[in-house]
Amino acid sequence: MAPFYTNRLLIIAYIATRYVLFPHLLKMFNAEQMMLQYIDVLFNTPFISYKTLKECILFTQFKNNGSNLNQMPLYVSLFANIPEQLHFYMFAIIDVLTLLYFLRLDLSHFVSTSLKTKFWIYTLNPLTFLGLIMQTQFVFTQFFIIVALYYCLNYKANKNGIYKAAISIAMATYLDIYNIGLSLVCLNFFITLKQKKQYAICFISALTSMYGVSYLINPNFIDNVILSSVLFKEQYPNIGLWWYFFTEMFQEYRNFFKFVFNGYCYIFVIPIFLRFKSYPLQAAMILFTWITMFKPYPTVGELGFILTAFVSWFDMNVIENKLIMGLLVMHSLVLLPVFYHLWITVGSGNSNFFYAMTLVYVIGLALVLLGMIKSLLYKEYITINCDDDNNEDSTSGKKLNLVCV
Amino acid sequence: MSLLLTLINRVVESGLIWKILKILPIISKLLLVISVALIFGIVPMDGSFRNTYISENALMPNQAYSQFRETEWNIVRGFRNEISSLNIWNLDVRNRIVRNWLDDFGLETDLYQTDFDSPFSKGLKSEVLYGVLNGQRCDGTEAMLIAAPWYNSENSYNVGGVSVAVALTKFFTNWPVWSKNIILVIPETPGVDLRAWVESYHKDLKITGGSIESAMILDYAMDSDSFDHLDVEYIGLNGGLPNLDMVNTAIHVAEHEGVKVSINGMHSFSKPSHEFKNRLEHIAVGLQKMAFAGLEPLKGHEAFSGWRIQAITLKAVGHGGGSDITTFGRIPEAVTRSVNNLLEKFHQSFFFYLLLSPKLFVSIANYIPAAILLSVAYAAMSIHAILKTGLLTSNDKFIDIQSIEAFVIYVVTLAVSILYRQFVAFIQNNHLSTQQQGKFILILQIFFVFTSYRVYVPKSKTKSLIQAMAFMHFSLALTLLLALNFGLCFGMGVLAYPMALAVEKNISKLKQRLFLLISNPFIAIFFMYSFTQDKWSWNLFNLMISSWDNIGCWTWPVVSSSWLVSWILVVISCNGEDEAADEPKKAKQD
Repeated sequence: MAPFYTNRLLIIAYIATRYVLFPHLLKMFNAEQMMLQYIDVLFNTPFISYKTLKECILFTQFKNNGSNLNQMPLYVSLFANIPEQLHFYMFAIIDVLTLLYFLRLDLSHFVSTSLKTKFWIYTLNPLTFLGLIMQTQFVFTQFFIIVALYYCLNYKANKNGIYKAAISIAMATYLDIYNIGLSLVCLNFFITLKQKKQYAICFISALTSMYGVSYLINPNFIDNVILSSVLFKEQYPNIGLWWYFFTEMFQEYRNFFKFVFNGYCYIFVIPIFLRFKSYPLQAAMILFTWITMFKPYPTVGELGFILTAFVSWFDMNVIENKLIMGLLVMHSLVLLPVFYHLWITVGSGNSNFFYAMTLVYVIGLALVLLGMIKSLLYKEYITINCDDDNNEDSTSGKKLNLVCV
Repeated sequence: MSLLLTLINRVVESGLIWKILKILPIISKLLLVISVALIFGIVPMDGSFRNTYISENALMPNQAYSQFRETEWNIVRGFRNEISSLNIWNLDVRNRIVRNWLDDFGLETDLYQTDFDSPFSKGLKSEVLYGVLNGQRCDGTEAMLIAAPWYNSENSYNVGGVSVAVALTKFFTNWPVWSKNIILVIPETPGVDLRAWVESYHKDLKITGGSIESAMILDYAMDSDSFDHLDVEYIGLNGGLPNLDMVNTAIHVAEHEGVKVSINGMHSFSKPSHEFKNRLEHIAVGLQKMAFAGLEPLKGHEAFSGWRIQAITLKAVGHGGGSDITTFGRIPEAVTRSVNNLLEKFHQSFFFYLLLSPKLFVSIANYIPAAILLSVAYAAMSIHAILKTGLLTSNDKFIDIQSIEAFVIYVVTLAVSILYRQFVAFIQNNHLSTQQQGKFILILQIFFVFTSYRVYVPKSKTKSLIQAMAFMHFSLALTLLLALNFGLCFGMGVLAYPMALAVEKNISKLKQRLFLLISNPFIAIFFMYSFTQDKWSWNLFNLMISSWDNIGCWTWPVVSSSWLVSWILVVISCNGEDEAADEPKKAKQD
């Protein structure tokens, strides 16, 4: 019984510190105001920030034409029915569920990351935690992606696993249209044609029904959320690569470049779908990273998810440039808010400083992507070539280890 | 591309990476040396600096004839007589008399009451007189500011400054050329109350005149008709500098009027800029002022940093030189005329620069590599420490009890360092004199170095991890500061470096403790500050905290949340066990 009680005690302590103590401490030091002042640009976009959510709730209560609401109607109506003091706890519940599904998502045949390690990786990830504190919509998106991946991976063990997977990936897509590519990659999880059909039909019907309900609630969401996200109508500086181009571009060229950038974002969906057929989970992460690099409104919360997944789902021992990757990502994360502050608040810097840092940040992300792909290709090579001979496997692993710092 | 690939393969095959990883501490030292050499050797060298120039064409300094001449002489003298006789009255009476004059000129005037309540300033009350002259051609969205404190930074009565400011305002009312409002501010001192006024101006002040483009603080604390030379001070709080165009305009105008100009109180006119030594001296003093901004007596322009206001202090130094008091008035006049021409806010020219003489400068691209190299030097030490743990090379489990221990120590240290302020406040409440407080804090640091190993001794893996975190924390802090406050970043990086020497492998205990002591933030800053001020400044720590409370100077929070954290962690890790298990891991790497 003793370990049972200590475990329970640990869990209570964990929940108390993460969801009660730290938020209260931050509130005590008035950190929320500071966060909104300095790191708002990293975590929030008009489509996921808590501030716009509150605006939307206000609009739905007092003036129900919803002319400029930047959040999805179902999401807004969920929070409109919860008292405002409890909003944070809604996010906290989703965060706990994310952690549970993340821990249950077991990949023992691929990498040997223990349960405890995974727990600490998720818990100590500051980006995920700050995203939770700032109550961004990405908390939800991340939850649905992880749930979808979990059910896709374990669809045989779970009753109705396929439907659950399809519905959660549809939810993720509903919250952020750019996740639609993941639905294709997740098709690889299922073996028989029947399962694939079930998955596809369920996904499409779930998504259409959600859009249908949303249309009944507030038909403006097509213009205000989906189209303005895809066509980059809300021009705010963010950590993506798009905004800088459109600040100076002539009107005539805009549509062309919006098409090209979106195309670039989606150009690798089918190649990744075909190439990594036997590793759909990792393929989904690779696609997610690629899209995060090139989508119009990325946030650092996505980087938090990518890093968590990268460390726990990929074989870290074969990945090169771990140090450079880490240093690049860390230093760019430190410098991004500084240059934003110099540009917007102090006025001594300018937008070029900030954009240069976003380029560095994307290079860091690209290195993470390369690491993912390398780890996967190496795994594939080992399974194809050295599967019958275990000794050879271990020696080649050692040889490669020499380079991988 | 294939050439690059071959190169990389060659590097990998020859094991160069491992060789580099083994000599990381040496590389780190080398980077420090390069960084210091870059600032004090290469930047002042011929070829890396440029002559200053006016980048914004609209400024046109001295293109208009300055009118504040002999005709105004008697007016200035009249005001000066009145103002010097006001010296016996207290602030209240002085402000009311001057306010009557300003009302007569047609300014909108008001009095602003400042009121502080902080443990370090004990309810400082003061009153700021200000007035707005509405420009005839302006729409009220922009303003130029002239301020003259009653008492200057050396606490002497600023007779000349106030009388020139008042006379100038009277003179400005006669002219129909102003396309921006002109604001006259007369605070009691150029420090806290001026800052409070500026803060209130951007929040809830009764009379405002639009966004302030430029600010000039006039400091002429003499009764004499002539002064020797003009001193231009420009380095603001938190590394904020005014646009180089503004400084250039002031210097250009002053030289045009035949006044000898110096910057940062360095008597630059007597130091020819073609000598290497003089340029080096200017850089060193500039960096020191940037690092200690807010801790030295406030000149006035510091009050304006953080609101996109280009502020400088014009200070007349020395009795009875070649230039008379109206010449001193013509300088703000011409600068105001120049700024008046601007159609856009200051955006040309440079915001990040170091001046090597009044007419020479280096821009950010030439000196920022020094700060980057410093940051890399600490990152290298951090990587060195990570490699010692073997986390990157072996398949050991990353998360075990020792790494959690290291993480907990890091968090606790961070909390302790941030709460250090409360601790200093606690000492202050215990009826010690300022001198005793300063000494107490310093003795506490020594005490910590020599006794902390009795309390807690980390295991070898924890030790390396703590070290890695300490240096990475400091490296990140330096990266954060490098564009914000180069002087502070560079100073901290260099002064804290003995910390990296203390963690070397075969170092004697005594030497290690010595390195730790001289890299302690309080001790290092105290000695550096006392050295630059030429006296033992025991009140430094109180000053740091009170300047954070009252004028928002970042030095205390920055030092306590970066340097202090790293230092405490390094001290703890130096107490740790030696790595007995280090050798087998090395073998594994090979």
